[in-house]
This record gives sequence, structure tokens and C-alpha cells, in this order.
Amino acid sequence: MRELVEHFGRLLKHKSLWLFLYLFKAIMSLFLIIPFFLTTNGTLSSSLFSRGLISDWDMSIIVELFSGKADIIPVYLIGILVGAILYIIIMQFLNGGLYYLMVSGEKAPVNWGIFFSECGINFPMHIKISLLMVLIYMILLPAGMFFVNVLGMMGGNLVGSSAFIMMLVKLGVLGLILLGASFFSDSLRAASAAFPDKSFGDITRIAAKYFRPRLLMLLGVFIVLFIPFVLIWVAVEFLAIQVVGLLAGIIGIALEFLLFQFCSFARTGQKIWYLLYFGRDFYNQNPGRFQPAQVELPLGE
Amino acid sequence: MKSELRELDRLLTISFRIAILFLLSLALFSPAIHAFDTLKVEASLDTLKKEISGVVEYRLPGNSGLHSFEFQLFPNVYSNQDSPYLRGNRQFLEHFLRDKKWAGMDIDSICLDGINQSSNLKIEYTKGILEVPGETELGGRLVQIYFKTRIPEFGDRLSYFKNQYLLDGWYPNPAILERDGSWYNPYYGPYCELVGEYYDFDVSLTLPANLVVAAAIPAADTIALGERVKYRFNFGPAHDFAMALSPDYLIDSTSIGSTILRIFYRDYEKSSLSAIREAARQSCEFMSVNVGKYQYSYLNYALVDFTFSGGLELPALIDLSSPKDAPMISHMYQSMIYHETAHQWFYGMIGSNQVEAPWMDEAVSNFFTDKIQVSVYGEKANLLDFADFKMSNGNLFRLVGGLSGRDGIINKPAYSFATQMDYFGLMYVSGALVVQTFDALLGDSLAAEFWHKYYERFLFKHPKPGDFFQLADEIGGENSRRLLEHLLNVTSRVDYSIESLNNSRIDSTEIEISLVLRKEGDIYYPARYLLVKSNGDTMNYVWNPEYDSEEIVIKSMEPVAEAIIDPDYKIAIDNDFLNNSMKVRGDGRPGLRLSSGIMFLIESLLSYGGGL
Repeated sequence: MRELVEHFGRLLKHKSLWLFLYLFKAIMSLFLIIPFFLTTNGTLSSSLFSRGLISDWDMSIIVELFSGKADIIPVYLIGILVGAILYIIIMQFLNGGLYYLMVSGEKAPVNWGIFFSECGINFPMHIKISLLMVLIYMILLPAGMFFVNVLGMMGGNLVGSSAFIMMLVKLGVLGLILLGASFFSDSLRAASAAFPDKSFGDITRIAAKYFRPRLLMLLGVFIVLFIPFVLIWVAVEFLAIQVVGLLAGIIGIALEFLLFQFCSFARTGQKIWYLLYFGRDFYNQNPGRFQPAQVELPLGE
Repeated sequence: MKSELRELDRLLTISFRIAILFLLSLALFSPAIHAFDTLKVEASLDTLKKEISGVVEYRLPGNSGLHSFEFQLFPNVYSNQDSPYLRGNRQFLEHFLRDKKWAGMDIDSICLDGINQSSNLKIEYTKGILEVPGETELGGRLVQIYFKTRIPEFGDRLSYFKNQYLLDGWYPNPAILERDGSWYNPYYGPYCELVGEYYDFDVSLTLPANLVVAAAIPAADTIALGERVKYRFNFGPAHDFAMALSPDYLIDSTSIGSTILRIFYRDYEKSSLSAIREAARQSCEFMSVNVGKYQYSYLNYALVDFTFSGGLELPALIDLSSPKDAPMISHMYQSMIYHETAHQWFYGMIGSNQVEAPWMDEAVSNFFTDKIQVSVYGEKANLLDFADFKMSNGNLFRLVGGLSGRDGIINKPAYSFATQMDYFGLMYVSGALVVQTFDALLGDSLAAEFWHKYYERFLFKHPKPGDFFQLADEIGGENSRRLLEHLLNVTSRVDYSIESLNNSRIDSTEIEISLVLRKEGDIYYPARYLLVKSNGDTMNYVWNPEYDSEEIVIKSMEPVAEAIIDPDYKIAIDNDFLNNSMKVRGDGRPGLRLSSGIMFLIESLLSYGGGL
């Protein structure tokens, strides 16, 4: 636990990295939302029917908007999907520098020159890792669903709140299975940062060797670090509803927007915090190119 | 004197006889009192062969000039791959094609007054037609049909699953004799449900002793025959007699006023009982008050394992798919109970024809589903209120309607629909919105009068769309009838909107307000609109649309701030409520808030997809 708190201190020192990564996500989302805003604002701004949205997530307005624009919804969804794919590709570029920082344990401030050169050098490897992970997720998702359905059958004929709890348990188990896969992805990326000269096969072997005995430990650490974010998220959702309810107007909307962005910022921080811990642990097992060079000391006379 | 007294006595006797005859004729021909024929069914279920066989017996209407008669063989919808019924349901058809276990009904023999007439019987798909050469009057004859029904494993209303049975349409059902003396024998194409004449049922059924019977009423007689039991049911007037059988059924029995409510459930479904009981009570009470009295002594709900998720309405018996594995965080299950219970009126007691005019069953029942839901849970969150996420049944109607496309003719046969989406979109959504529009424009008191009168006039009868329109005319006037006819027969697409709103100052004291009202769809129903001035005063007007659009010019001392057409959103079928109003000065706040919320959703998506 003390170690986790220490890594939180390191996270605070990496403020600029945290801020830039959050801003990158926020700007991408902003670009994706602008066409939506431009096409819907004209309809919403002139209508009295939309007034309820100022203080409440009134479904009747959202339904009216979307049912009237049924033909545009797929266009929006495709736009968001294309944007998300673009974001993921750019993230593979940034992962090169990010995992380099995490595994090398380089102290803040970040040397951006080195950061971006690592991004460029490792980009092809991170793309390969992503493709492998897509394959793994594609196998794990149906396999995980089959497993949780078997779990559901073992649970018997449940109705009402017990069925709801069982549904949450199923989702939780599925989430844990996918989370396990994401740790393997982190291990591959960390291995590629520590051993840039190794082949993809060697990197996979190093990552698997590191990942297998540590799966449960990583799961535990991730959950511990995820809890503060969940608390922030719940608090933000609660406060946002209160704020727009009390200040039904532009101030309420602005405060709600800031709360949402704070939550998004916290999520980025949570992941960097976890990566700082993970990177240090990986380095301790596989220092690779970051092992300090052995210095030959002169023999005493 | 004596002869005068005798004459007086004779006159009194004649008058008395005439009075008695008059009273008798009143009793016999009064519209409130019907005399229903008896439909006798004696059958037995073979659980090994999955067959039910027996005999149906009834008397043809006397002095009717009948030279032929017809009956229905509903199970033949499962008889082969060319079945129009199965072709409308690909899921069923694919199963039958895979398993090659077709089902259907065989007629062993058919007798008229005890004489075998099987050689004269013609069977075409689900239609049985008997014409006896040389016979010109079949009226009053006793019909006996010996049948054997092969029950499909994978069906909807007639099926078995492991040791549970759903038996509907399992016996040869007489066709309906029309007023003009012709037979109406429904064509069971896609999306069709059973249609039948009202009878008093006298059903004797022999079943394995371990099966519990969920039927419209409890058995009047039960005779143990070793490992089998013979049940006798007397039920009616009704146009169908269906059952659900299961060895695992437990019965929960309570009462709603004078009606006994029975729920047939399995032990693991026990926790959902209180919700079902409550929803049944709410809907039964609502319908009794707002439409008319529930006419049967029992109202039954059976939880069954369907091959689909939903409910199935049958007279005095409602089959509901099991709530097994349902978290029940929404009121969706209750909504299904409301819908199926509403069908007890609009299908069960008022026997509209689902095959020829499905909107009279589905659209009207769905309209009442929404009314019940609003009365129980309120306007805003009557379907879902979970983690501050609120959704109403009305929202769902409009969303599904918008996504499925609301255009099209609603008043047409069920079998004429090409796709399931068309059928559900037009019947359950657009149809319900048309009925809601009609009801709202009538206003509370006239609408109440309409539904009560509809019930009184057509109780245990078969109203047709024309009857519905006729009553609309009587209660709401010509405008109501024309609106209804247009929306159901031509197109349900309607959109009232305000296209522009402007203030132009004429001089220092007067302002010219101009607005353009527009209407899409060919309905010509007057719509209320109001103007809100900048000082908060409101001005009410009515637009009588002669054309598709009209510019209205009004002089005023105060500028207008907002205008709205149909401010109470009574025209529920209106395609778009957002364009019903206009503000002189736009307000970007709703758009900003929605975009901010969606942006947060996208950020969350990117976080999980991209790792940060």
C-alpha cells in the first residue's frame, strides 16, 4: 500500500504528461461531438419542447431528437467509431513513449524529445501488439460469455433482485476476464519498451513469463487503484445531477461539464498511476536496456 | 251480463297472454341478453405421442338456409413449409425445416345428425368445408367432428416443451356465420391470431394425473381414472378455450373485487408473484372502471416457457413468459401484464377480428397499456426509473415508432404485413398513437363515454372498423370520425409545426407578429396554438388548416416571445414535437448540455478503448 501511495506521488510529478494525455482525449472527443452539436443545436435551440434538458436528462426530448433523425444516427455512430479507431491508432504511437517512461522510471519533467523518438521507434511493435490483442479479445469475449452463462445456469432460476445481482456478478466476471487480457497487453508493451531489439516472439515470451505469476497481484492492484476513480465517478454523477437541478441554466451546465471533465481527467490519472506501479514492477523483473551499466571499479593497491 | 263478463274475461286473458309474449320477446331479443350455443368438446391428451384427440359437437344455427358449413383447423399452420403463417415467422419455419417434425390436425370423421359425411369434407390449409350434395338446409343439424391434433414441439400458441403444454386452437373451431349467411373462415397468414365465434364451452378433457391445468375456470367435475383424470369445464360466453399444462404448477389465488385471480407459477417464480398480482389488480380495476365490468368469475395468469419473450392473451387466461433470469429493474414485465390484461376487453369480451383488423386488438390494447402505466407510475418514469435514468412507455412508443417508420396504412389485415417490424411498428406504436390522439381530442368526458358505449354495444360481439368509426361519429361528431378514418385508412403521418416567428415594429406602439403554421399529412383537424408575449401574456387561437401552411399576422402592443401549436401535445401521432414550437430568441443551453453529456460518454468510450 505504501508503495502505491509513493507511486501516487510520482503521478503528481508527471503532471504535464497526465494533462497532455487527458487533453488529447478531450480534444478528440470534442472533435467528434462538434458535428453532433452543429446538427442538433438548431432544432433544440428554437424549440420549447427541449427546455426540460436544461435541468433534467429528459428522455422524451432525447427520444424526439433521435427518432426524428433516425437516418442520421448511423452516421453519428460511424463517425464516433472512426474517431475511436483513430484515437486508438494514435494511442499506439504514444504508447511507445509512455511505456518507455513507465519502465525506465525516468523522473519528471519528461524529456519530450526522447518521448517522441521512442513513440516513433516502437510504433510498429505497438500496432502488432494491438492486432494480437484484438484477436485475443475476440476469442475471450465469446469464451467469457459462455463461461458466465454456465455460471448463470449454475445459479438456477433466479427472478427479480437475485437475477439482477447475478447479472452484475456475470458482468463482473466478464470484466475480470477482459481485464486479465489487458494486463497481458501491458506486459507486452512494457517488454517492447525494455527489449526494443527483440523479436515479437521473444517479447511475447518475456511478457508471458512476467504476466503468468503476477495476474492475481496485478488484478488486486488495479482494483485498489480503480476504487478511488469509481468513487469520483459516482460523486461526479451525483453532483452533476444536483448542480443542474439547482442551477438550471448556463452556470449549472458549465459546472456539470467541468465535473465531467474532472472525472475524465481522474480516469487518465488512474491509468497512469497504475502504469507507474506496473512499470516499476516490470523493471524489477526485466530491466532490459534500462539496467544500469556495470562500472568497473579500480582495484585497490 | 254473464256473456259480457265472459267477453271481458276473454279479453283480459288475451291481453295477459300478449303481455307475457311481449315480455318474453323482450327477454329473448333484448340487446343486453344473448343466447349462446354450446360447443361441446370431449378429448384426451396422449403425452407419449404428443397428440390430443377427441370430438367436437355443436348444432348449426336453425332455419339459416345453410347448404354448407365451415370450421377451422388452426394446427395446420404448423403442417408444412408452405404455411403462410410459418413463412411470416422465419425462426419457427427454420426450426420446423431442421427438425422435420411437422404438426397439424387430422379429421378422422365428420358426422351430421350422426351420419358420416367425411367423403364430402374438403380441407384447404386451415379451412374445413363441408358441402352435402342435394342438401339445401343444414340449419339446426348436429355436427360432430372427430379430430386428432399433433402438437408441435416448437410453436407459439400450440406447443409443448418438455412436459409442459400450451394448448390453444387445439380443437376444430367453427367458422363464424356472418349476418348475410356466409361463412367467415379466417386466413391464418403471418402475424395472425385465433378468431372464433362466441360459445358456451362444455369441455371434457382426460389428462395424466400429474399435470396441473391452467384454464379459464377451475374444473366443475373431476373424475379420477387410475393414472389419468377427466376434467369437465363449463365456460362462456367466449370465443376460445385454451389451457396451459404443467406438472410443476402451483396456484396462487386471491381476489380483485368479485373476480378470483389465479396465478399458475413454478416454485422458482415465487418471488415475482407479488408484482404480478399487483399489476393484474391495477390493470383489471382500471379497465373495469374505464371500459366496463370484467364478465368472467376468474382471471388467470400462467407463467410458461415460450419460444419467445412476451405474453399471449386468451379468454380469461393470460400466458406470460417466465420472469426467470429477469432482473425486473424496469416496469417492462408489468407493462406486458397490463397489455395482455387490456386484451381481455379488446379481444376477449369485445371480439374484434385480429386477423382482418389487428389495430382493434393491438393498438387499442397498447393505448390502454399506456393509460394504465401512467395511472400507476405517472407520466415521466412509468417504464424505467433506475439510477436517475427515467423512461416512459410513451418515450418507447415514439422511439420505436420513429426508428421503425410510422408511415403506412394501419387499418389492414394482419396477414398483409410484409415484415415483423412493419407489423409491430404500425400496430403497437402508430396504431396506439392514433387511438391516443383520437382519445385526447375527444376530451376526458367524451372519451369515457365512447369507451363505455363501445363496450356496452359490442360485448360478446364482433365489431368491425366501420362500427368503431360509426360510434366515433355518434360521440365525437364528424370531425372525430374523419380524423380516425384518415389516420387509419390513409396514412398515420402527421406533423404540425411552426415554421417561422417574427416581430416587426409598425410604429412606436404597434408590432406586427407573423408566424407560419405548417402541417404535413392530409388531415384537416383544427389545432390549437398559442402565442406567448414578452410580458408573459398568452393568446390562444385555433388553426383550421385548409391548406398545408398558412401565414398568420397579428397586431399587438407587445412583441411575441414564443409560439406553440398543439401545446398539450394532444395530437400524439404528430411525428415531431420539437418543431411544434418556436422561440424568437434561440436558446443554446439544451444543445450544449446534451453535447456535454455525450462528449463525456465518448471520452469514457475512448478511455476504455484506448487505455487512458
